[in-house]
Formats: sequence, structure tokens, C-alpha cells
Amino acid sequence: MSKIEEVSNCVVSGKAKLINGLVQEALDEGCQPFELLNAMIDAMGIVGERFKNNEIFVPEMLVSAKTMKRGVAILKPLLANGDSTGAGKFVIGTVAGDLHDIGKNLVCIMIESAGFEVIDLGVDVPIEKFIETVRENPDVKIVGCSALLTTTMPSLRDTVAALNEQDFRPNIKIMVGGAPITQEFADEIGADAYTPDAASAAQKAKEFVA
Amino acid sequence: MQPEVCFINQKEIELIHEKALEMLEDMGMKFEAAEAREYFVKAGAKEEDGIVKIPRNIIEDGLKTVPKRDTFVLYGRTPDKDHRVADNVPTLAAMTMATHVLDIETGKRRQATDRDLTMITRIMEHLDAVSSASALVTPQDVPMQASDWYTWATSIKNTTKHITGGAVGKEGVRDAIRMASLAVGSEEEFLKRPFISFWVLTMPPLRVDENTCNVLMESARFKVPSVISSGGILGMSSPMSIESALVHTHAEILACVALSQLVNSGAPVIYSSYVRSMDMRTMCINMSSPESIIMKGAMAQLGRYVGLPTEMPANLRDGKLMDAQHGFETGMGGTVGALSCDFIVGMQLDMDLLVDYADLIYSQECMSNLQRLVRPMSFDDETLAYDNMEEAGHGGSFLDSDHTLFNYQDELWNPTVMERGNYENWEAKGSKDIHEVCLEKARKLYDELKDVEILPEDVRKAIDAIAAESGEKAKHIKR
Repeated sequence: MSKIEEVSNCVVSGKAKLINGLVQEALDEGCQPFELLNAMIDAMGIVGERFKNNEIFVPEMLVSAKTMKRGVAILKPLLANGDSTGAGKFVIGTVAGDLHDIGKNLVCIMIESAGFEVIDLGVDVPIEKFIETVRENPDVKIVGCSALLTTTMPSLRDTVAALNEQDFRPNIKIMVGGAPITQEFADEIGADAYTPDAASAAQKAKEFVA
Repeated sequence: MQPEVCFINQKEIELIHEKALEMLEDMGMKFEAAEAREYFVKAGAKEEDGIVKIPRNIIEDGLKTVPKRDTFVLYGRTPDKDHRVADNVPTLAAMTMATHVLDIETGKRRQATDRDLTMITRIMEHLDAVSSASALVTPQDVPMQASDWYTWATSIKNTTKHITGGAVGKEGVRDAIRMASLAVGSEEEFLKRPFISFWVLTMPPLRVDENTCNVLMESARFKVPSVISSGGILGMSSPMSIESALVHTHAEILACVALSQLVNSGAPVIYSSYVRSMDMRTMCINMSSPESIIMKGAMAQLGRYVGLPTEMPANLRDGKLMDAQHGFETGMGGTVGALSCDFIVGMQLDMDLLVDYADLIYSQECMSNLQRLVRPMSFDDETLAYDNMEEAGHGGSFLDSDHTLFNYQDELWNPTVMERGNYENWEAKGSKDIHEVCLEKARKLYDELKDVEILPEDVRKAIDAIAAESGEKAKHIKR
């Protein structure tokens, strides 16, 4: 088995403790950093597929994502500027007034596993914070906002409305979610997508940047 | 004897309680309202970065003064709807905050409206096994930020039963009390028999947000009951072992009970818990998984151990419609709930998001069935009926005996929608399944109750006015 294959297998099987050594060995043997990066991205693709087919569950997927993250950390200083480290940046937070972050955290995990760099703004995020973050990170591809309670849905509406008015709007996609949110509501408030759960959120996000 | 189900034995209960006390002493609890922390500090707790380390004597003192299960009365607006917990008859309590209903005419899933809440509440008023007619749905067609206020208004206007609901901050508590007071004439009258209570939900692990602290403290001030629940999710906001989840869940409830007593000694509380599992494939929470139901049973045991009335959401079904999954979940959760706690929170599907009118009738039927299941036997002359045995003699029949005539209605549970006859008669009645039978009954009740108002118009208007003016204050509250 080549070193690259070993790195790939290590991500698939989620052996987080072994990845640093394997990546280093591969580099020492002359593998290019971008080759290794691509191998790991492909490995996460396999993991995602297995998850979709019910072969593995969330905890296994998480440990694979963690493994990849560690591997990428070693590669990062070695990668040329043009080498992308994945699918792009994804800004996420619960809207102002909403303190419920369990669902949002699940989405973070899935989105990260799908290869995005997640900027997690946490809970009770003011509208200005979302806007500011996108301005500071021109490579943001997607903004995700969530509201768990029907009482905070108006805040979601206001957040999306404010984002829709920004000059950067054509460059980003807006995704919304949360237990009381529906496709109709998402359409009504002008979001680009609604997904009912974390796995489909990751799927949708991947489609947006494909 | 009172039949009970046990998931943990006495030694294990004591171990969990002890570990919970240790956890509150060592790790402490994060109360995000400074006022709440001050109460603890004044009582001798240490505060550090918003976390209070609570010495066990504060918890133990709180458990001494909190009203106990054996004297606890869940008040209705009218005394005929009071429920005495010591009678040991488990009842259904409506869960709150579902967002969708199955339309009573079309059967299609759609957003719940204020009219739905009105009609669902009126129907629950007529279901004997339901002790709390709380707002099963949150209307989606009222000003959304103030929907808690509108929900309280509609509930209070349409039932004489107890209502548990969410409130937004101290003002939300006070406004709900104002509305309830209007329904009984004055705040003084209301406070004699507080027929509403407030959900107090912690944010596990070991955290209570500011708004929730405020709701707990304010309801304690009025001596209006708080239904205190800690509801972690295994592997998410609770560790991935039931044993560990039980410890911190119990600890969080104890800390909240203690706070209520520090604010106002003798303030009533109900012990509850939403601790549940999550499906590791779909990442959806599961209200009716075996683990969730085990935890409901075990938490009920812990609530009993500290002497409190218990309310457990053992009848929220993960199923999406009244099918075999829904039926099994109703039966499994309901049976454990009836054999372990005082109030079984239920009557929602799709975890806790959907209400089917037909399921209201079904839930009433199942609860009534379970009330029979858990009724203690009593061995006395009347039940042993030796004379009756002698009268019938060896190989005789009891069908025409007086003992049968006088006792059968009480001894045998009598279904109202479940099928009990032979195949031919069932076929002759239209071969209906239980959903159809329940739906017909629900529709009949719906029609009968369409225009029934139970409060005078001026009172209803005054209640509505409180909801209508709530918009501005609701806007600025985090939840």
C-alpha cells in the first residue's frame, strides 16, 4: 500500500492518533502536500457516502473529520496559496434572541465533515455580526442561520432580509433551519435553501459550491 | 399495593442522589442571571465565573421546604378539575409548542393556527384522563414574537383545567398570572388556587439561561408551580450513558428546586425531565426510544425519592401518524409512565411537533386503559366475595349473580374506541380502523364545541388585550 493510500485509509477509518505520523512519513517520502490533501478530501467523500448508505453513524463520521483536520493542520504551512483546503467558508449562528444551539452544532459538524471551513458565531448572533463576518471573509460561500423557537422566527426573517440587502449577496448562499422552519417560510423570507436536518444541510451546501 | 416499575434500586437511587450532590458541590451550576447567583451566595455558596458551587445543605434545606407529593394539588380553574397527586391516578398532561396539526377535515399536515389551539383545548376540556390542558400547539398565525402571550390567552379562555406553559422572562410570568387572574375575578383568588404553572427548562449540561432563571424566580415569588425539567440529549448535551445522564439531570433539577426555595420558601414545584436519546444516523431526537423511556422511568423514581410530584414526557411519539409504530410507542411509554410518574406529558407526534385531532381521542382511551392497569388491588370482603363463590357453587356461573351486576362496571375497563367485538360485527360497522373511529369522534366533539365559550365576553376581551399589548416587551427578550 502506498503512503497516500495509508493516509486515505487512516481518514476513512478515523484513526486520529496515527494521522500526523503517516502524513509526515508521506511527505518525507516525497509526496506532494496537495496530493495528500486531495487524498484526504476524497477519503471524506467515501466517509460521506458510507454515512448516506447507513453503513456508519455520526460518531464514526466525526472521528474521520477530526482525523482529516489534524492531517490538514500539518499540510497547511506547506500548501501553496492557490491550493484550496476544501469547499470554502461557511458562516453559521443562531439568530438574535435564540439561545438554542444543539441543532446548529450538529450542522457545524456535518458541514465541517463535508470539507468546509466553519466560522461558528455561536448563539444569539446580532444581524451586524453576520454581515461583518462575511465582509471580513470574502471567501465565505454560505451563511447558515437557525431559529429553534417559533418566537425567534421573526428574528430569522430580519437577519435574512438584512443579508439580502448587502452588496455581497450575489456571492453567498443563505441557508436556514430549525425545528419550526419550513420550506415555505424559507421561500417567504428570501433564503436560498432550507434543509430539515444536518445531513441534508451538508448535502445542500456541497451542491451550492459544486 | 400500588404497582410500580423500577429501573433503579434503592441503592442506585441513593448513589445517583449522592453523586448529584457532589457534582453541585464540586462542578457547580451555571446560573446566567446574577440575581439567581446572589441568592446562592447569600445562602453560603461560592461563585466563580457565573458558576455557583452549591454546598449540599442548601439543596437539602430546599428539599425540606418544597411542598411534597403527598399534599400536592394540581389546581384547575374550577375545583372539579383539581387533581390530587396522592390519589395515585396517573393522568395525561398536554405537551406544548407543536407547530403543526393534521387538518381535521383534510388530514393534511399544515401549520397550527389559533383556531386549532382553541378547538384542541376545548376538546381536551372534555377528556377525563387529561389533567393539564396546556397549549398543545403554538399558533403560527399570531404575532410570532409574542406567541407565548397569545398562547396563554387562548388556553385560559378555553379550559377550566390546569395549564402549564412557557413564559418569557418575569414579565411573561406576570402577564400570564394577570390573564389567569381575570378568569377567576382577581389576583387574590388566583393565588389561592394557582391553576397555571410554568415550564422551567435547564440548558444541560449544568446551565440555566437568564430568562429561565427569571421565570423560575418570578413564579416562586408568586408561589405558582414551576415544572422543572432538565432534558439533555445522550451524546450531545448529556454523556453517552444513561447512568451518567441521570446524575447531572437530577443535579440540575435539585439546583433549580433549591433556587425556588431560596427565593420563596414553600414555592411549589413539579419534578420533570426531558432527558432523551438522539438517533446517531438521522441526528433527530427520539422521545420514544427505549433509552428515553428508561430515563423517564428512572427520573420519576428519583423525583419520588426526593418526595416531589413527577411529570414525565413518556407519551411523545416519534411516529408521524397513527400507525403501528405510534401505537407501540404510546403503549410502551404510556405503560412505563403510568407505572412510575404522576403526570404523563404527551399527545404529540413527530417527536413533539405535530398534533392529530384523532390522536387526542386515542390518547384519552389509552390513558384511561392505563389508569385501570395501575389501579391497586384491595383485598376485602367485597372483593374476595366468598359468599358469591358459595352461591354459584362448584361449576356454577357468575353471569347472573348480584356481585357481577354490582361490580362489573368498576372492575372492567370499558373501551370507547378500541374494538372488542367479533369480526362480523366489526365489518358490519364499516370495518373501520382505530384512526377512523377516533377521527369521527374528534369531529363530532369539534362540531359540538365550535361555538362554546366558557368565559364571559368582557373577560375574554380583557385577556386578549394583555396579549395584544405584549408585542413591544416580547421583542427584547432572549429565549
